[in-house]
Amino acid sequence: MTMTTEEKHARLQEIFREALDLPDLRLTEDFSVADCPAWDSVATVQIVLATEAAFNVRVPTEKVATLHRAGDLLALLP
Amino acid sequence: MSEPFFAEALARARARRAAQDAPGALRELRGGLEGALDYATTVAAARFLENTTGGTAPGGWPSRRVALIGADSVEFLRPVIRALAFRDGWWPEFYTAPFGVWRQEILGGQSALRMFQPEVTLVLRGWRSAELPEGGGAAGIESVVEAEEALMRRATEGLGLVLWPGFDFPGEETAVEVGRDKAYALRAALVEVNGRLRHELPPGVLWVDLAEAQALVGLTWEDARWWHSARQHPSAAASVTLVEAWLALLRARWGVARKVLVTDLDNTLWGGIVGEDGVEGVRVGPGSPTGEAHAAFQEYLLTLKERGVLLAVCSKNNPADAAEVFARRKMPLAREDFAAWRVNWEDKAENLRVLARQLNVGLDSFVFVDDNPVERARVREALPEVAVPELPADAAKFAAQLKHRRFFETLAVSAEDQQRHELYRTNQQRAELAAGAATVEDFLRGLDMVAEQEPVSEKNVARVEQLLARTNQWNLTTRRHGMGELAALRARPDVLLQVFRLRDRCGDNGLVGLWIVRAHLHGDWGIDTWLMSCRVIGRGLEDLMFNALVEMIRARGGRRLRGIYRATPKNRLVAALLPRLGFALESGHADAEEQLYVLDLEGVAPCPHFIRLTRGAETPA
Repeated sequence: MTMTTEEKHARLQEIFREALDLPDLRLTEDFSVADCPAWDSVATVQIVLATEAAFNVRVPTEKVATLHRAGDLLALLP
Repeated sequence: MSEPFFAEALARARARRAAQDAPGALRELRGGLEGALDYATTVAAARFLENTTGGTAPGGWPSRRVALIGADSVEFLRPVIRALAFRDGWWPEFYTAPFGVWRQEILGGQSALRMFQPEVTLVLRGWRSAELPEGGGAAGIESVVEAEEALMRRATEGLGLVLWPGFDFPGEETAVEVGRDKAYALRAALVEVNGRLRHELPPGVLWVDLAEAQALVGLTWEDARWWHSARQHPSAAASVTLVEAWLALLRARWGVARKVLVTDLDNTLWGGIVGEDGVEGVRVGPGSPTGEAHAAFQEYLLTLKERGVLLAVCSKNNPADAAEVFARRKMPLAREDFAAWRVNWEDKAENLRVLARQLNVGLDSFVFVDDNPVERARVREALPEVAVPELPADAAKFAAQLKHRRFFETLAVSAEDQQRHELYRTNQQRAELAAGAATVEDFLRGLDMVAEQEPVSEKNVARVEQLLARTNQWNLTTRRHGMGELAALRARPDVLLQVFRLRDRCGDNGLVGLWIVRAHLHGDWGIDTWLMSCRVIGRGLEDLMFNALVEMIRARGGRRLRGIYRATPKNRLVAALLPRLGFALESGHADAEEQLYVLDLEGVAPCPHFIRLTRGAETPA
């Protein structure tokens, strides 16, 4: 299954909307922890797990610890 | 979202919330939580909940103070507990200890944990915190057991009900890496520690079998990434299984575990539809994979029945067709395995109401199992108190789905559990006798009832604990003493604990009554607990129990007896019991939550009843 960039972005946006309970969020690459108080460590775990399940990827430990920006995650997608 | 059933419910909940319908939004969300769940779905549910309710309990929901403490990070489990407790109908107010200080929090006199005054304390720690000395050995095991026991004992003081974890096992320490002897020794040592600890639990502590949860979750129990980045153990993938185990123990302890499984027939107990495929055409048992899967599901229901869960049928079918499948097809369940049966073409919600009346239990003790999503949705909508788990399409996975939810968790299995089904069947015979008798007295006399009285002892204490945990209706004070408290009460010379069995011409009802009374000064006695199983309500056993109580405390110099009625949503049945027996109201008024009564024992005459009493050999005069 190959996804277009737009599809990937839409899936990831949906994951962020669920995790942060922000139904109207428009996800940009620069969306970061600083923009959103709801993005805490629990949300990070959820975002990583949901992303892994949706895209069949594995986020490495180093990225898990430093994940602060949506763009960091987008860059890891196949 | 990886779980479509939940994702759809969440989308509907969002739409309701956007339309300013918060109660509707919560109802949709709760329905969604009946489906398969993982960490991501429960976290989404919790966040939605907190944003919708403003972080406080929805109106009228019971809230409980829950402390969550552990050797490692436990924060990530909070949303999972929030979501699943919401599904169970309650609202935790949390305290989470920073990780690494759990021992100090338990041991300290003025710790933040103690100031919080938890009603429930959930403790989590993994194998790394066992601190077994290199090489293990008997002395190492002894030191771990002692340290754990000291912590547990201190945890019983002021931390509410404590759920203590057994040790899980190191998943990555394989024999190949560390040497077979060393890996084996480590596991064996932890097995022994677990075995020692679980048999020495102090009062107020429940054991959480972490190793069992680990086996259920499998390889994803540990995730080194989250250990290294966030000190999380076990992994987020293990969270739902772990929290289900916690909540099941709480349900068992709070007396709200489910008791009855109501099942559909077509495509649930067997493959196919008997009305279309015919009695020989439905698939069950050897011959097809589908038939094997349905037979395996029946086997699972049979084990539930043997553990004391009542089985009932609710199916849209011609009754004769359904009966014929049981008569002609070879399969694990027989017609007689069901305590009640509704096979007709009426609405299933209405049939469930009838089943609840027939079995004399609340709808909130039902689990409804049906392969048809329309029927499930209908019952969820009409009867929110019935648990309606979402079922996978594949019958081979029905049993696993139900097991994962732990609907029927018990703290101990007693002999009565195994006979419960028989008891309900004999009740039907009694109903026929009652219908044929001219008066209630004639009926009761005709039953030839014999009661047996004995003290609480090792051989009946498991059943006693269960009665305390489960009895909701005929229960004066609803005090849920556990094993530990029972042991402490039994050790006291000023406390009497007596149980009553009742049998009659239709069969043995087993151990069905209990009172616990305590002596105070100057001939004053107080009733701590007085309860009766709902299966013997209306036979006059309470009058015999009362006579026995008066006689025993008079023999010990008792002059006055005090009793409390503590009102709960379910025990209206005994609101007028004490005044009927001649007790005078001492304080509290008729609609107060607690009413105190007193009875002057001088001149109290025995209550009439139709039961012959025999005393167990161990009863002191």
